[in-house]
Amino acid sequence: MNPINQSATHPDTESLNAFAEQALPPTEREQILAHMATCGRCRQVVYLAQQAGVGPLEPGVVLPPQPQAPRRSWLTSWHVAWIPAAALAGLIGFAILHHSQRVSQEAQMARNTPPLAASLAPPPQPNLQTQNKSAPSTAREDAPLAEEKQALRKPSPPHVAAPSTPKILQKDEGASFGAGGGRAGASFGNELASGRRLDALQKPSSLGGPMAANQLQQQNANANQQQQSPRQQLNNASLAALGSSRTESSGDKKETKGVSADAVSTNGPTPAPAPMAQLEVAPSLTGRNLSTLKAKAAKTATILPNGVAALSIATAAGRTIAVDPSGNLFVIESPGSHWIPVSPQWTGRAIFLRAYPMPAASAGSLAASSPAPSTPLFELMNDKIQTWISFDGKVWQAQTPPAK
Amino acid sequence: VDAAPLQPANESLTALDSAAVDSIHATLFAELWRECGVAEWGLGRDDFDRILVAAAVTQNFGLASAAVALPDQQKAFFRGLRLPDLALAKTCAEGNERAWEHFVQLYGQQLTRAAIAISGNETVGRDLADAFYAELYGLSERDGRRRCPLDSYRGRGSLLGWLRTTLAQRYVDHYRKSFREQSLADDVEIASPAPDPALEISAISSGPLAQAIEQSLGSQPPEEQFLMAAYYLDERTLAQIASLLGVHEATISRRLRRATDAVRKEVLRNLQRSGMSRRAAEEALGTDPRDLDVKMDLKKLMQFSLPDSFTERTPSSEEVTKTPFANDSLSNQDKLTDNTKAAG
Repeated sequence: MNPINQSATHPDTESLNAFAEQALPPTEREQILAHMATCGRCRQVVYLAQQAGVGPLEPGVVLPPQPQAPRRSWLTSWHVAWIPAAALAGLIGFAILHHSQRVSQEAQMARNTPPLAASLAPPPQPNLQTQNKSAPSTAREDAPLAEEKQALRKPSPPHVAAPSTPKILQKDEGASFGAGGGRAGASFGNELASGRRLDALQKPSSLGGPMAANQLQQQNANANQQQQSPRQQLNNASLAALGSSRTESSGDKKETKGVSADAVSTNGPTPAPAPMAQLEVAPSLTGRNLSTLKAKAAKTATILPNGVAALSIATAAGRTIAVDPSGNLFVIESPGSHWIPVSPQWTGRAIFLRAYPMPAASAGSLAASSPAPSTPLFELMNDKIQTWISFDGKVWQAQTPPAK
Repeated sequence: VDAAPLQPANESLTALDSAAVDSIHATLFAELWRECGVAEWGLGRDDFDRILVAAAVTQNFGLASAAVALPDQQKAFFRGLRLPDLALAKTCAEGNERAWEHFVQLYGQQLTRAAIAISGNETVGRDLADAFYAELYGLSERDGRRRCPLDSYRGRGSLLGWLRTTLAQRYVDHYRKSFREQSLADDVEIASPAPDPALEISAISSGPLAQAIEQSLGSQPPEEQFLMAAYYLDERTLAQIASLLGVHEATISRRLRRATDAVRKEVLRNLQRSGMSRRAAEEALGTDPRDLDVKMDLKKLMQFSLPDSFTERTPSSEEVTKTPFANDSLSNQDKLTDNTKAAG
C-alpha cells in the first residue's frame, strides 16, 4: 500500500463495521467517508467484509431453511393496472347500457307502429299447397297449367318455401294469358293452396291483353316485396284456426277433412281429397308456440271496440275491416270514423280477411249488389277454410258453399 | 485450547468514580438485562452492570471526552448499543467458558464461512479462521498480558459484522505481508519488461491540468469522492456501492452523474482560471486522468484497489505490461515514487 496516498491512521474495525452497517452518527460517517475516499485499503476491507456477508456457503454446511415470505395476493400485485382496468370496465358497461337502451327504444317503436303493412298484405304464401290438389280442373284449363298442378301434387316438405314463387309466376304468365276469364270467383282456399301463383293466373287472365300483363307484373312485384307479412298473417290465421280445432276431438279433424273435400267437390268434377293446410302446419307447432304467437298477434294488432286485438285486418279504398279472435267483424267506412260491428253472415268463425280490387269482368255475378266496378272486394275466410266476399265489408256472400 | 486465565478486562474499572455509576439509572440496567437474555449463558446481573458501566466510561456515552452526558443521553447510548453482543464479547474476553461455548455455537460456522468467502479459497479461508480463533482466544500476549481482540469490541455494530471486518483486515494484512515476501527473481522478471512510467507522466504531472483536477476532486463532498473512487477506481458495481451506503442503485447512479458533471465543470473553470481558453481547457480534458500525478494519485489508487490485487494467482505478462506495479515489490514502488518525485 502506498503510504503517501493512505491516511496515517485508519479507522478501527469497530468504526468500519459500524459504517458498513449504517450505525454511525452523521458526523463520524462523514469522517469515515472522507477517509475511505482516499484510502483503498479501508475500502477493500469494507468490500471484503461485505462480500463475506453474502459470500458462498461452505461445502457441507446445511443452513436451516429460510421461512418463505408470504406470497402476495394477485389483487395487490395489480397496483397501477387497476386504473386502465377500471376504465375498460366502465367503457364496457356504458356500451352495454347504451345498447340495451337502444334495443328497448326500437322495441317500443315497433310496438307503437300499427300493423298496417300486415293488413294490406296480399294473401299468404302457403304451406297449404295441398289445397291446390283439390282445385277444380276446368275444361278451359290448358296443358301447362295442368302440368304445373301435377308437379304441385308431388309430395313436398310441409313448409313450402315461398321464394320459389317468382319463378313459377314467370312460367305461369303465358299460361294465364291463354286461359279464359271467368275465374274471378275462384275460391280463396285455392289461392291459399297455390299461393300467389293462382292469384296471378286468375285475375289477369280475366282481363287479358297487355294491360292485364302489366297488372300481373305489378301484383307480382308487390307480392314479392310484401312476402313476409302475408306469411305471418296466414300463420296467425292458421294458428288461430288450429287453436280452435285442437281443442276439439280428433274426430273433428276427420270432419274438417271431409268438409274440405266437399267444398272442393262443388267447384269441379274431379274432387281430390287433400289434407287440410292446418293439418300440415300442426305438427310443427306446439301449444306453447301457439300461445306465444297468439300473444304476439294480440300485441301487434289493432284494438277493436270490444277491447280485443284484431286478428286480421283488410283495407281498401279507405274502408277497413277487421276481425277479432272470436270471429266478430268490424268495419270502418271512411278514415277517421268509428268501428261498426257487422252481423255474422257466414258460418264458423272468421279468422282471416283480405282486400283487393275486384276485376270488372269477374264481378258479373255480383253486379247486382256491387255499387261500382272499382269497389274493393273483401274476402273472408272462416276456420273451415271457406270464403265469403263482400264489396263493402257489410254484406257478405258465400263464395264457397258452406259445409253441410 | 490451553490458555492462561485471562485477566479481567475491566480491572481498571474497579476504581470507577462512584458518581458515574450512580448517575446511571438502575431500573434501566435491570430492564436491559432482561431484554438481552444474557442469563441464558450464565452472565450475572452484576457482571452485566459492570460491562455496561465500563462501556459508558470508556466511550463517555458516545460524546466528546469533555462533555457530560445527561440522563436521556445515557439512556440513548445504552439503547443504541448491541448489548447482547457486547456482553458476550466482553465475557469471552474475560475467559468465561460458557460464554465461549455460546460464542462458538453462534459464530463458529459463520466465521469459517466468512473467511472462505473473503479469501476465495477454502484452505486459505480455514487457515485464516483458525488463526483468528487463536487470536480471539488470547494466545497472543502484549506487555505480559494476554490480549483478546474481542476486548476492543464496543457494541456499535453487530458482533458478526465486527468479526467479518476483522477477518478482512487480517486477510489484507496477510496479503500485504506475503506481497512483500515475493522472491527477487519474480521481481526482476516482472519488472524488467515494464517501461519506466516516470518518464511518461513527468511531462504532465505538474501541469495545470493536474492541479485543476486535484482542486476539483478536493472540493467535492466526501461522499461524492467516495462514490467516484469506488466506481471508477475500484470498479465496484452500483449494487455493491448502494448496498454499502444503504441507498438504492438509482440514487448512486444519479449522484455519480451529478458528481462527474460537477467535477468536469470545476476542472474547466479551474483551467480557465489558470489562463487557458475554454477550447484549450476542453482539449486538455481529453487527457487520460491516469496519466496525471495528482496528490490523490489516482493511478496508484486504482492499481492497489483493484480486487485482483488480492488474488493469489500469478498475473500474465500482458497484465504485467498493463499494470506494471501490480505485483511489484515495495522496494520497486519506493524507487518508482522516488523517481517520480525527482522527475517532478
